[in-house]
Amino acid sequence: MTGFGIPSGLRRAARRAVRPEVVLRRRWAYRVASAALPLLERNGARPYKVAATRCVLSDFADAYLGRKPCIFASAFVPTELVYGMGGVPFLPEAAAGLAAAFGLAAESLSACEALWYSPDLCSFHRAGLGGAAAGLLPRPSAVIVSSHLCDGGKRSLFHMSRLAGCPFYMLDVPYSSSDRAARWLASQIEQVARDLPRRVPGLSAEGLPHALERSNEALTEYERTSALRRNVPAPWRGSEALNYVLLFLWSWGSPWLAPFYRALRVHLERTVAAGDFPVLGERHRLLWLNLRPYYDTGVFKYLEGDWASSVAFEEYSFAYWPRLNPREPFASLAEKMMSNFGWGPIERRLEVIARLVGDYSIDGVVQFGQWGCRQSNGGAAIIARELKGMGIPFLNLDGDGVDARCGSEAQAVTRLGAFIELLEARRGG
Amino acid sequence: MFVAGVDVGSTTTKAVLLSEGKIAGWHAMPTGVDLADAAAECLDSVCQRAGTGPDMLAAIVATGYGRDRVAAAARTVTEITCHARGARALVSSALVVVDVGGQDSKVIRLDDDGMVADFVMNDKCAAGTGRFLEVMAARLKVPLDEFGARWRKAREAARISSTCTVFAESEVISLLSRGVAPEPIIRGLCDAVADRLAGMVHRVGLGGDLVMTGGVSRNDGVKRSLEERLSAGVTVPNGSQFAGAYGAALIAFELVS
Amino acid sequence: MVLVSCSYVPLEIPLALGIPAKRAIFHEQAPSCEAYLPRDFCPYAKAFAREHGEGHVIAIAGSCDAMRRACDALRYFGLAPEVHFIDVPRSCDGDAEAYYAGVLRDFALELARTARRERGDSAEARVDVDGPSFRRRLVAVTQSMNSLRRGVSRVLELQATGRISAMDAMGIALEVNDALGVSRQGDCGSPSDVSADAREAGGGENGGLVAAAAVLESAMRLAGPAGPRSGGSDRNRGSAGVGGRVRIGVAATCLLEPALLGVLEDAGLIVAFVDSCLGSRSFDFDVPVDEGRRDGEGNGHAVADAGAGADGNSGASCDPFYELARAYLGKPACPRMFVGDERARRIESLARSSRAQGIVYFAPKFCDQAYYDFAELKKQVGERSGLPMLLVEGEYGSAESGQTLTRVAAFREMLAGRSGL
Repeated sequence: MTGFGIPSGLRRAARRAVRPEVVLRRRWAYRVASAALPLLERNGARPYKVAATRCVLSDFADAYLGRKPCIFASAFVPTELVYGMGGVPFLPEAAAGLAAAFGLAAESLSACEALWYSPDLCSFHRAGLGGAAAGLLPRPSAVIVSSHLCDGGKRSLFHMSRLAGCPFYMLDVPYSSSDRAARWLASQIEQVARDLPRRVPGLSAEGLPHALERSNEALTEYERTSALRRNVPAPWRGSEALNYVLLFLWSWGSPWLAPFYRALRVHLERTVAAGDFPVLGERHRLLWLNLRPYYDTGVFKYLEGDWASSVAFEEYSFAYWPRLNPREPFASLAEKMMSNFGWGPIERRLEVIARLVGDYSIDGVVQFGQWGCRQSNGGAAIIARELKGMGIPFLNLDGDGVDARCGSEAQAVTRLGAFIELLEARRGG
Repeated sequence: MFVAGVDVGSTTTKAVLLSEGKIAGWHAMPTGVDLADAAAECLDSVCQRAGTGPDMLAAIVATGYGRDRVAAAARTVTEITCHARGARALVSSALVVVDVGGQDSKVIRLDDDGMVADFVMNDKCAAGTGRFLEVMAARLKVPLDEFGARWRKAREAARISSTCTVFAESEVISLLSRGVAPEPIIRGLCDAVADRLAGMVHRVGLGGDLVMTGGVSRNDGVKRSLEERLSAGVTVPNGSQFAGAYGAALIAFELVS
Repeated sequence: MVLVSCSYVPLEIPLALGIPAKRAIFHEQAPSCEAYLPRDFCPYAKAFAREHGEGHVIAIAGSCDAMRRACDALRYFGLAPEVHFIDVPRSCDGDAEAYYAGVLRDFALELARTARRERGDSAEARVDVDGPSFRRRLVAVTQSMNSLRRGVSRVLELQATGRISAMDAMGIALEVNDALGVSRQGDCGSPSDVSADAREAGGGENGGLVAAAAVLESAMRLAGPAGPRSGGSDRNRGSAGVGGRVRIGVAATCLLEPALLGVLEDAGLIVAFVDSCLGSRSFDFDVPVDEGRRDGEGNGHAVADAGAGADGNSGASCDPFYELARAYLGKPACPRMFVGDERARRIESLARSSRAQGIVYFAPKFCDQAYYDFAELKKQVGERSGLPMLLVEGEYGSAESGQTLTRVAAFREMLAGRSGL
């Protein structure tokens, strides 16, 4: 199954017929793409997909055509900060997933290797670095990274800021969640919000409260979709939901996130009402940890087809933060960052996994062992032990989300198949 | 005055004999398990053909993976320096040397004077080496010598996504079981090796004449795949597999003169 | 004993509490580490995951994702009797310093409880880390550590001038470190003669400091004008840039072990400097000590307020935790820090002052910080200074592998060719 459901012919066309670094910077490209959306809608494309595509196109146009200051951010920077200041965020790690889905990652990975970055680094960052070097990414006006969760994100974006010669900000996220730590982080966010408008024309901190309100509104809609996904059988394909994790990382604070989740919620409600579930005869429900391979892979065809197993929910789809307080934007965003369950002691992640296992009636947990992702893979042995104690089978599925050269689909299918057999045996099948 | 260079590689041992600085003979043979024996035998053979003996050599310089096992060597020099010297002597305009041997691949950038300016070697993984192709040739039951001709027959390359020898082998098996002909698979394999090499070339910087040396340089398929990836011509001089030994011999000649 | 994972964690704190402490140096990754940590983790992180932790208290800094997860594994699987996570900031402005001062104070509080428990002291016997008595000790220990750091820096200077080999210099630094782990009972792990001296000297509350000073004194005596130390020092003797040998610098995140230095020197290179947390980065700084505060009248109020916000550094300058935080965060930056171009400038400066003609960069296998650092340095240093850089990846025991030897030899040949040697 292709990442994002992009037909293989279209991917080949994108790879061969056009030079994406040029096309992405042409106004007509966005006009043509936008004009095609109603056609998609008339041909039965689901409204939430059309809504998401429209919004991504709009943000990409803002970023690539320079309509708004483009701020590069690492994956766990609260994007409310960027939208609230009038900029448009761009997450190179998430863009790497998109590039893989369009079959464009290989060129970026090669470009990264030429810069002497090791192939043992996480490919989401390598593809981002290579994409920046190859001119595939927009030009950033500034770069903001957070120090938590992932070393690669902050380091690779530091390099990109050097490449672009733009301001670089690092939000140093404290490990503990004490008041003192929260105050320090809030003061850092405030400093960024004060400094950015001075260095990047077109930005202002005035819109921050409104962005936080929009974020809360989207969170309300999102929580409804998450609640609907508790339904057995699952109303949404996990392989597709894993694609939308990239939006989940990218879009908080944007004006379009709440309408998008509303459209998704309506779709899920209709699916549940009609009993028209995507995985026929669902036999097993999985919780998926970390990201997925975004290039063309047959793994999910087996999983959701032959083996009738749903990825009922994903770790990275879990909204872990409390409602934001628009009157205290800095403290509130600091709280959001510090409440990330991937940060702090592993017990925080274990708590979330245990909660999701219960909430989503999970039969087994799969962690996608992204090569080079130390922060996630580093917890595998602990998660396995913890889940064993809960009587939940666990599989660490080694692979690579962006660099297809670093994994074997045949091996992944075999391992996943054996895992499903194990679940089947437990079920008495 | 005779001098010799001997390149004790993981697969093949090569020797080049110089007489007054000019090539007087060369010889190659499988290295086998005893590196010292292989070097001695190879030197014997090349000397015999020129009507001389190893004892008559004014200097021997050893290079390659087994260079330290050559007791008669006046000096040992790494393959990087020797391939650089040899390649520059074979192609005077060479600025980038891609040497692909049995277990190592190296890309060397030369400065205008022919000195090594930068280099990069493959990591421990066999991807991008002769060993990778050997394993695949055995699986396909196609002699390596035929890879070039088969590459030319292929209209397109089969997708070999992995460059890990183990994973790629399973992909080859899977392609064969799906009835894919050997030609596109061979082209896909050559592409996979060339991908790794191209990455290394970009590290030291593409620019100037690019020369390929080492055993794999005789594989026309890899050469063509590399040219496609780099959008640049690749020169494979006569005697390219002897470039390391030739470079060692040139250094030996310098030592005594 | 407290084993510390990172050069940003001040040994002064456990030592002032009377707990022997040293930087954790291993010779191999833990045999069963892959039961706890993934295959693609750096050897240093994996070295910590040894069962039962040899009974030591472990203090792990948030150096990287791998060390953070190693800390989780140690705690979760009970691999050490006590594990502390030290949240070292990645920046070194006033707020970060103030925050770190608070972290260090918390660390002191936790260790004080450990010390009390181990001694079987009553609750009344607790150490007040803000009180004058502890502060007096902390200031005294800091002075001793300053003295040790200066001493080791002098040894490294001798290395830079070619008086002793890099292997020997590193050996001395490691022996000093080992000696700091000497307990009051005189327990010392190293069997060498010098360490036997240290063992003898290691009595009293701060036995480790006394032992370390003795090691240093003995080493300096041997390395003094009378000649270099015995044991392998012929590597560099009288060879500073002469005799066709090429001077290089070594940069690394963590060097893991000194063996690579021996390989470089045996290949005919002179190692003029070592920028690693087993090298100059750990010693090339002082912690300012306010002599007027030796009476122990520290500013506990400032500590309590540390990290209070944007102006959190105000008024904290008399606090010993703050001084430690500031000095340690401000020491020569390691690749985990975000300090702009400071690292590249330092490497260039070291290379210039030591006349190094190239840099060998050691990256422990799967060390992300090193992979990023190398690529950045290769670009910045290469573009500005034209200094060639060689990347050597390695694990414990890999320094003498064929791949490393060939790379090093080729690098030497390349540099020698450039220099016309």
